[in-house]
Parts: sequence; structure tokens; C-alpha cells
Amino acid sequence: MKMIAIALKDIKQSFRSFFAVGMMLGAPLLITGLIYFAFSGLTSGKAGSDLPTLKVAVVNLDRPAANQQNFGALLITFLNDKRMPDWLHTSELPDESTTRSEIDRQEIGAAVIVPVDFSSSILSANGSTGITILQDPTLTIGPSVLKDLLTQFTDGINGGKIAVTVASSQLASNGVKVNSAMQQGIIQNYSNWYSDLSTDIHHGQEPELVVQPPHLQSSTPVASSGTNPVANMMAQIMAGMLIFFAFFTGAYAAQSILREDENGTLPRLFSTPTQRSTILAGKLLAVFSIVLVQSIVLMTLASIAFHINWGQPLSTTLVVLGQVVAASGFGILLISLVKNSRQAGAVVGGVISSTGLLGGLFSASVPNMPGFFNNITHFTPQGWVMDGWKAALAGNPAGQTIPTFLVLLFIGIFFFAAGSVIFSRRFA
Amino acid sequence: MRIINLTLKDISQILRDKRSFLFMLLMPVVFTAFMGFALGRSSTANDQNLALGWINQDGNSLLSQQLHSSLQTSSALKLVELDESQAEEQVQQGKLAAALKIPTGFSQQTLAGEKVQLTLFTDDASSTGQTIHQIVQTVLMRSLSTVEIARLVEGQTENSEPYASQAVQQTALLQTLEQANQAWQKPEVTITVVKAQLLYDTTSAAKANSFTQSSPGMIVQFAIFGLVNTAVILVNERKSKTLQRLLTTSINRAGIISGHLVAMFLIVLLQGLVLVAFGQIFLGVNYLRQPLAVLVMVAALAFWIACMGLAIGVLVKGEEQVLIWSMLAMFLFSALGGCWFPLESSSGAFSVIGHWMPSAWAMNGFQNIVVRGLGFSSILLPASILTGYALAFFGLAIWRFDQQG
Repeated sequence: MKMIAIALKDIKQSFRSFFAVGMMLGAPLLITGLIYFAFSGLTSGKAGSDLPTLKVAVVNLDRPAANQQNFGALLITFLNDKRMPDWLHTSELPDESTTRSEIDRQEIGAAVIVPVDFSSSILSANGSTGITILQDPTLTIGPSVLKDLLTQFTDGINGGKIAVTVASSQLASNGVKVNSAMQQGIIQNYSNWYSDLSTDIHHGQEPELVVQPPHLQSSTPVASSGTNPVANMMAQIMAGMLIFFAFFTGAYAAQSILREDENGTLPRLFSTPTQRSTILAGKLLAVFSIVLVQSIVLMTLASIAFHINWGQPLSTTLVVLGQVVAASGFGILLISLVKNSRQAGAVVGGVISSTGLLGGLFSASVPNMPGFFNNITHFTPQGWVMDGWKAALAGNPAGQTIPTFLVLLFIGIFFFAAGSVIFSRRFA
Repeated sequence: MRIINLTLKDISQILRDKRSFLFMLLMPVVFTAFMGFALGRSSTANDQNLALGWINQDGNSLLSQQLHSSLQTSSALKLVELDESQAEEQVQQGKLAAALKIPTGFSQQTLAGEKVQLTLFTDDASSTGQTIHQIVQTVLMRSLSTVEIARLVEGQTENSEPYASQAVQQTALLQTLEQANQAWQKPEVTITVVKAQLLYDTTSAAKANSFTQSSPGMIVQFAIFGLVNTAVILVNERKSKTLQRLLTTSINRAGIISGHLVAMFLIVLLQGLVLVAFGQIFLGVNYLRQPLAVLVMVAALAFWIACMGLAIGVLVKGEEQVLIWSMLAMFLFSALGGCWFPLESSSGAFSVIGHWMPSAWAMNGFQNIVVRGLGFSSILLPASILTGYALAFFGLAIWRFDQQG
């Protein structure tokens, strides 16, 4: 009973502290929330629909001969088409040097430079020419999409040229005389076909290439946050934050032993008939309960705010329990090794950050991490908890999270025992 | 003289604390290296060797072979042959970036002028999915184009000089497809992408790598976290009544404020310069191509942080509140200002808000030097805006300090 009273007092104290609640709940939700907000366009599943505005200037230096088709002007019409993405803003600039200074001043993100001989080269047999995209070197995504759009345009021209060249050659070998009217007909027919294909493949009801997210059969575990990898990334980031701040809370809550010792309330407690082991057990129970409450509250809020599905209930329960035991044990051991609460601040910050980094909490969503890094994670308790969450988030049944749970249980109990022995000797 | 004494007292107090070394130097160094490494891995994964599952239900047909060989020539792709059930699972598990299904009869029906639908299993919301979608779509359109060209040739031939036999027609068709396919391997109208900095700086190297994002990012982030050290001094002075005692001496309010402000400024400046040196020596971030510009940027950053630290120190009551507000400032300014990831990769609204942050201007100034390859004049605007933010926080601190009497 006394053990519970001591634990309740510590729990009440922790949840009354603005700092503790901020670090336990506010910080992890804030960080995940910021990342969620940053990539909300992607999590909504609307690819490329919510990119930042990219201002593009076209420098049309093309000077076609009289009565020649003006391909430079066609390119400007193409980029101003209403079907272009909303975030692409196109304007025109007179020359290349103005364009460069506009990029330097970050007035525009990219420029499309059409050369003087653009039209004449296209219309001549075997005439090669090219468009140059000049881009701000800090940008990657916008210019890359711009290049894809321009490829559609140049492929239309290239296709027309190839059609005329190949048709002329093949018709000649079939004994057919090719005249310019026939060439014009081929170009016209090809252009109409290409225009229809482009419309169909990009905007048609039944395009030639349909993109489908992978659907698994019912026997295969289903990723808990659906099939959207961005949603899965958010789940892994939140799991990383959950673990990081659970370990921080474990250590912070264990500091109450040091604070009580420094304030003189712990020696006073020891002078009462209550056994020392009961007092320490009360403290340990408080740490365990605070981390447990924190984990449950964070998971619930993350489910509501970021639509994270944590996996099958039994798997999730095992991972949460393993996390709570490991984080509490780690906190007790860590605090048992420091001299006072002032020193504890630096040690907790440094050790929790370093082990979190090595445990892979900040790189859970980074693809292709090297093998040695994945091995290092298992030298930290956080790495084992992350393993458990990855399994749970992938929708695996409880059977697959039991080994991780047992490892975490062992780690937690071992740390608990070591920390308790050190504290017992210290207060003997 | 009294101001200098006060400044020296603050500096020695901060530097004597072992925590200062941990939070001001060690952690930013570790995080810079780690985040640069992680960003590097992430961009490599997006750019190279995207594994594309090849589900061919059309056997050794003409067009499926043509499509296969065109996709294989793409340097960005690595084709992996497998069946449909394996493919979806492997895309789901991230072992494949995507899988392309060629349905039965694709070649025959397409050559007969019928529309056939190919399926690409991938997540189109991810950058990898979008990249692979674009590559496959371009290759498919080029492949369909060869069929259309063959059809046009066939039509013209039939109108002028009909084929002698079906065998001749078939041979002519194959020849046309082959010739058109060859022509697509080397199109005459090309697109070249040039990064602007290469036009100015080809030798002394303002080169973008993953550390040109993480190094300035962590300089800004941990400069903000340095608020903890600086603001705590002010709070503790008030709590221990040292401030009140100071006010009874001949040093005036302006002197006290100035003393603390200069100390905070010098500490953040020192931290920034050490981290710049680390970036230059160990990470290949070329800050020294414009040393004066970098010095001005670090000074402007230090001035903003010092003024913000002063404001927090004056506004909050206890040490724990300093920690909370400093961390809040660090998370908000770092994430919104593009210190963790480039703002370009975030959503539109996030990017618009982010560009107004002082941290975004700090990043902009550093990246003008190390990525854009620009000169001293390019940092004048970012440095001025940071100074403007600094003055706003300074005004807030002075107003509150006066109110506290």
C-alpha cells in the first residue's frame, strides 16, 4: 500500500510539471506533426499536386524562317496549357543573362532556353537541336518534373521526325515514291495520333498505362497504415519519436530519486518504518506507470491526429510492454550512475540522444541504410524496441513480436536490477 | 568596462559548464554527420538502380521484347523478372520500387490497332513511384509510337503499291518497327539540364552534396538550442536576486542588457565558426570560398539568436520553462525553416510559411555561398532580414525588462 502511495505521489508530481508534460507528449507530437504537415501533400495521396510553386521563365530565342512552323512558340503554348500543374508558373524573359540573374536572385527556380536554330533544325533532315533547362542548384523535384513535361513535348517532335524519316526510307524500299504532300500527311497523322495518345495516357478514363498501388492477398500481413509508403513512413517516424521520448521520460521520472535525495525528503522517508526496498519499489513503479501512460496517450493521439494504425492489438500490447520495461529499466540504471540532478540533465540528454541515434530512431524511414548500421542498432535497447514496432506496424501477428518482447523484458529487468543494486548501496 | 566584465562573467559561466560542450559542439557535429549521411542514402535510393519487377504474360512477343530491351537500357532501372503474386508482395515490402505487368495479347492487339492496358504496381504518391512511372510511360509511348509509324507506312504502301504477299508485308512491318526503334535510341531533339552555379564556379567548387543541407541546417538548429545556455543565466540571475542587486549598482539597465547580449552573441558566434570549420575540413562544404560572407552570416545568425535568447530569458520564469521554450523554438524554426529537409520537398503551404522564418533566411544565406556559388552581395538580404528579426526580439526583451521594473 505504501509502495502505491509513493508511486502515486511521483506520478502526480510528474504530470503536474509543465516541463515533463511538454517533453513527454508535446515534443513528440510537435515533431511528428511538423513532418506530417510538411509532407501532407504526399500523405493525401495526390502525387505532385501540392508542390511549392516553381516559377519558370522561357527564353525563346528561336528565329524560324518566314512561313516555317514556330516550334519555340509552340513550346510556350504547351507550358501555358491549362492542364499543366497549378504549381508551375510560366513567364517569358528576353535573354539568357537576364535569366541567370533572375535565378541568382531566386525570382525564378528554372529557365527553359530555346536556341535560335530550334525550328530550322527540327525542320531540316538530320538536324539536331536541344532545349536547355537552367535551374537553381538547390532545387531538385520541381526541375525534374519540368524536364518530364518537356520530354513529352520533345517526344512529340522526335516522333514526327522519326515517322517521316522511317516512312520515307521504308516506302522507298517498297518502291513507293515519297513526295512532300505525302510527308505532310504522315506528319499530320502522326501528330494527331500523338496528341490523342498524350491526352489519353495523362487524362483518359482508360489510359494505356494504369498505376495501381500493390494489393496483397488476405493471407499476407497488411501494413498497418495502409499501402501508402508515405503513411508508413509517418508511422515509423512516430514510432521513433515514441521510443525516444519514452526513454527520455524513463530517465526523467527516475530523477525524482535524486531530487528527493537533494531536497532531504528521501533521507526523511528512510527514517520512517517503511522499508527501503518498499520506497525504491514505489519509485520504480512510478517510473513504469508514467512511461506506460505516456505511451498509451501518445499512441492514441497519434492514431487520431496522423491516422496511424499501430497493428494487431496483441502485437502492439507486447511491444508497448517491452518498451515500457526497457525504458524504465534503462532510466533507473542511467540515473543510478549520476551524482546529482544537475549532472543528470546533461547525461540524460547526451546518452538518450546518442543511443537513440545508434538505435535507428531517427533513420527508421531512410531507405537502404548500410548493413553495419542495422547491426549497431541491436547494441541499444532502443534498436530492439524499433524492431518490435516495425514488426507490429507491418501487421505481423503476436507470434512474431514475442522474441523481441522477451529480449526487451530481459534487458529491462537486467537494467532494473543493476540500477536497484547501485541505489541500494548508495543509500545503505 | 562594467559591460565587458558582465560579458566575461557570462562567457566564463557558460564555458565552465560541461553541458555547453555537449550541446553546443558534440551534438551538432554528430547530427550533421548523421543527417548528411541519411540524406545522402535517401537521394541515392531515389536516383539509382530502381528495381522494376517485370511481369510478362505476353511471352516472347515482338512488342514485349522491344519494351523489355528499351527499359533495360535505362541507367536508372534494374529489371527483375517474376510472376504477379511475388511482384505485388515485393513492392509492398519495398524490395521493388515498382512492377510492370504486360498482359496476354499485348503485342498482337496493339499491332492490330487495339488499345491494351499495362499495369504499373507502385505508389504514385512517393517520389520513387513518380520517377519510375515517368520512365515507364516515356518508354511505352515511344514503343507505341513505333507501331503507329509502322501503321502509317503500311497505309501509304497499301494506297500506292500494295504488298506482294502477307509475308512481304510482315517483313516490311518488322523492318519499320526495328528502324523506328533504333531511331528512338538517339532522338534528334534533346533536353540538357544545367545547374546555375556551374556557370560561375567551375573550379573553386560550390558543389551540392548531402552535407551542404545538413551542415548549415545543424548550425542553425544548434545555434537556436544554445538559447538554453544563454537564457538560463538571465533567469537564474533573476531568481537568485543577482539582477536586482546589479540594478542597485552604478551599472544601468542598458548596460546590463548589453553585457548579457554581447556574451550571448559571442558564444553563438564562436559555436557557429567552429561548426563552419568542421563542415569545411571534414565534410567538404566549401564555406571558405567566400569567408567574409560566411562570417557575416554567422554574425547575423548569432545576433538573432542572442536577441531571441534575451527575450526568452526576460519572458519566462524558471529554468524548466527556458528548456521548453528553447526546444519549442528549435523544433519550429528548424523544421519550418528547412534545416531538416529542403523546403522544396515539403508541401506548398508548409513551404510558404517556412520561407518567412528567420531560420529559412539563415539557410538561404549559407546556401547562396556553398550551393549556389554566389558572392558576398547574395548574403546581404538574408543577413539584413535576420538582423530585422533580431531587432524585433530585442525590442520585445527591452519592453518586458522595463515592465518588470
